[in-house]
Amino acid sequence: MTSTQWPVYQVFERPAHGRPMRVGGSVHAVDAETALQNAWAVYGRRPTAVGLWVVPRRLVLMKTKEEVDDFTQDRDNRAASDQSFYVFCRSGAKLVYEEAPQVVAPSPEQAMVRAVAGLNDCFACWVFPAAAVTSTESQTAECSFAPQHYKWFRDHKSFPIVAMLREIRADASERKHA
Amino acid sequence: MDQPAKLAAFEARIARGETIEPGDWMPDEYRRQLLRMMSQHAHSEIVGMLPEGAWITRAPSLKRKLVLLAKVQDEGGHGQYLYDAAESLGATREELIEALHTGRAKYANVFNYPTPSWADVGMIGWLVDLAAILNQSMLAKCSYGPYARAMLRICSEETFHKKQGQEIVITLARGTREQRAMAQDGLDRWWWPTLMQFGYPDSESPHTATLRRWGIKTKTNDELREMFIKEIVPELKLLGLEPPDPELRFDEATGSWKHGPIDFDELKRVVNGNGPCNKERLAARIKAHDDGAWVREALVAYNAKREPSEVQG
Amino acid sequence: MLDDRTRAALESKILRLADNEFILGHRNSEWAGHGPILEEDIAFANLALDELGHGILWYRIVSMLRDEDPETYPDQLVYQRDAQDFRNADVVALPHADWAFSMLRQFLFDAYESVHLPALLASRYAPIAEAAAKIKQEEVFHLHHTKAWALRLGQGTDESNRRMQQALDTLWTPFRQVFVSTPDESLLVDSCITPDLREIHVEWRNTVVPFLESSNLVVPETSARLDAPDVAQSTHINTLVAELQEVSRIAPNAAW
Repeated sequence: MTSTQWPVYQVFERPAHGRPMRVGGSVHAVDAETALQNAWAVYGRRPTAVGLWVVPRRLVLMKTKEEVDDFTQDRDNRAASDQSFYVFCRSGAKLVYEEAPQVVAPSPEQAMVRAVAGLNDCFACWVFPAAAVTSTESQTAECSFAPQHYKWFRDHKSFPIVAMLREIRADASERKHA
Repeated sequence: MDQPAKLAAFEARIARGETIEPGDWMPDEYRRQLLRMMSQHAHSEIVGMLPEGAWITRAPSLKRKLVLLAKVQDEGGHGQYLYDAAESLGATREELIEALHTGRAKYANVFNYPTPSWADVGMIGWLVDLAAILNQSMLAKCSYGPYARAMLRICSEETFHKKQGQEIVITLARGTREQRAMAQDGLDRWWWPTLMQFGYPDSESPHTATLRRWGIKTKTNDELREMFIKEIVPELKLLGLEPPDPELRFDEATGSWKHGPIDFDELKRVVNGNGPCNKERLAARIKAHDDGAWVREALVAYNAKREPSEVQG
Repeated sequence: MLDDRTRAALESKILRLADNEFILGHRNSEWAGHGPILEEDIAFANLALDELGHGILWYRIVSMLRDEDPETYPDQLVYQRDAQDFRNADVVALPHADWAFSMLRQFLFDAYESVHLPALLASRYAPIAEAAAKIKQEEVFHLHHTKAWALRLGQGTDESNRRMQQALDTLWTPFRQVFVSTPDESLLVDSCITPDLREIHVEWRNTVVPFLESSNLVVPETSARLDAPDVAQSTHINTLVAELQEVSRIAPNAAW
């Protein structure tokens, strides 16, 4: 059986306008454009996300706080220029990784060290270059990743089970007393 | 830290309510159990698209048609979330799919039963998805972070599926004679396979204690089965539908439901590949995968031909 | 206010629009669970859901034109009409051959919507303009998706190119039926209710031909006249509708 090992794109989602991004799931895709479209199909088809990012997972550095504490600083002296890194942090007992302030650094490892140093109560941290992001939010109006509104077939009000059962009980009870 | 100390620290973390994340130390057995559970769950969702998917083109109203298509799509989505979570433990999707296609990996045995009538769509939605919800609510508090996060999404979507199935059955039960007969026939065929979904009786389940300590399993098989029967039987009876179990009765003394014996030999047969639809369902998945090979190759080839993107970091 | 003849022309036209969307959505829904890639299975189901929804929007307008309840009449149109009374272009009812076929058909249809919907937005008949506005939002996304796929499959491998070419050879001529007028459509065009389909067809060709060629595909020559009479339904619609209505016909007037 043929098999193709495809790259994995990490998905980040914005649950509502004005709220911070958080880590979502992931999609398999060969390129960023199809990754974004597929991420939208999988994670954007309900109004639980108004915007999505996709980032090749190999570019995301993921560390627990303990691992970072044990880190030996990357003393590589390449004349690497500073870039912006996004930082996502899981704090306390929360299940979600949420966006934390960006850092600027010449490498992912340095970015990680700086990110963790600046965060309180950080259990685990992810960093990745801002340049690696493909986002629905930066798309032109030409391609609309318009956030979904509730379709009637995904609305609880379309399935009034409680009311239906109540009606049946009332009918049954009427018949009993008739 | 040596092994026993690591294990103690690990179990202490779980006892404190912390989640275990990818990259954290974990016992091999924990990793193994979780990978088995997550991949089985993922496979169940994917294979589960087929028995109901077969009825999309024949769904008897516009509402039912769109709802069923959305449901089957959701199941694909659930499989996707779970493959993603399983990959966080080091498996690749290709390996997981190959395990399914070669018969090494298991999936929920309910999906090895045929769906010969429209009522089956209702029964799967109501019975099987209710069973899944009961199992899954437990897992949303699972100690392994990626699984717990996937389960949160899945649980909220699954509540629709159960309602949608129930609405189908309620409508049939209040309908024409043929419709009522169709509903009862569906219940006759789906009752026992659904009860089997909760697994072997507690007396025969050796792993429960460890799984409880590791925050993977918080209720026993029998407890979940009882919760299921307690919720669904009164509602079925209200609709004039009778589960095919002459021994099913509510025992006032213990405040619990008693039911007839579950044929676990049948479960073994079906789980091991000898159910009515195992081969057919797997064959459909293998065909979809094989037929899709040229598509996947084309995407890879297209990407290779393009100039390297400036954002490859 | 619409005179009887215009009203009848409008009913025919919108019924055709509705049937095109609905039958296409029905065909695409057959892929659920059988797609080549899990993520795409999910995405394609979205396209199918949208097309079915668009069909229902148009069926609701037909309901209003016939003084029927828009909440219940669409079900009657779908589940109680005979196959021969469906007004879709035959091309949307063709059974799918492979993934290339279905994706290309969807692309051609999305491209048609991308030139047709802006014209419908300008309709003097308000319900058409409103429906077009709702549909357009989703169609922009569809076209983005199917264009990306058509390009990748056209340029990908020799095999994917071969399959796309075969699909194009099969679909190109029948697709022209989408641009054939319904009875008395000239009344609608003259009243600025719907656009002249010949212009839409030209715009569509100007969009899709260069794109298909850039995807390494050869667009077939065709000499069939566009203004040929409304083509007779092929037998595919009979099989499709029999399946569509199989369960509902067990109890045709019952609630399901």
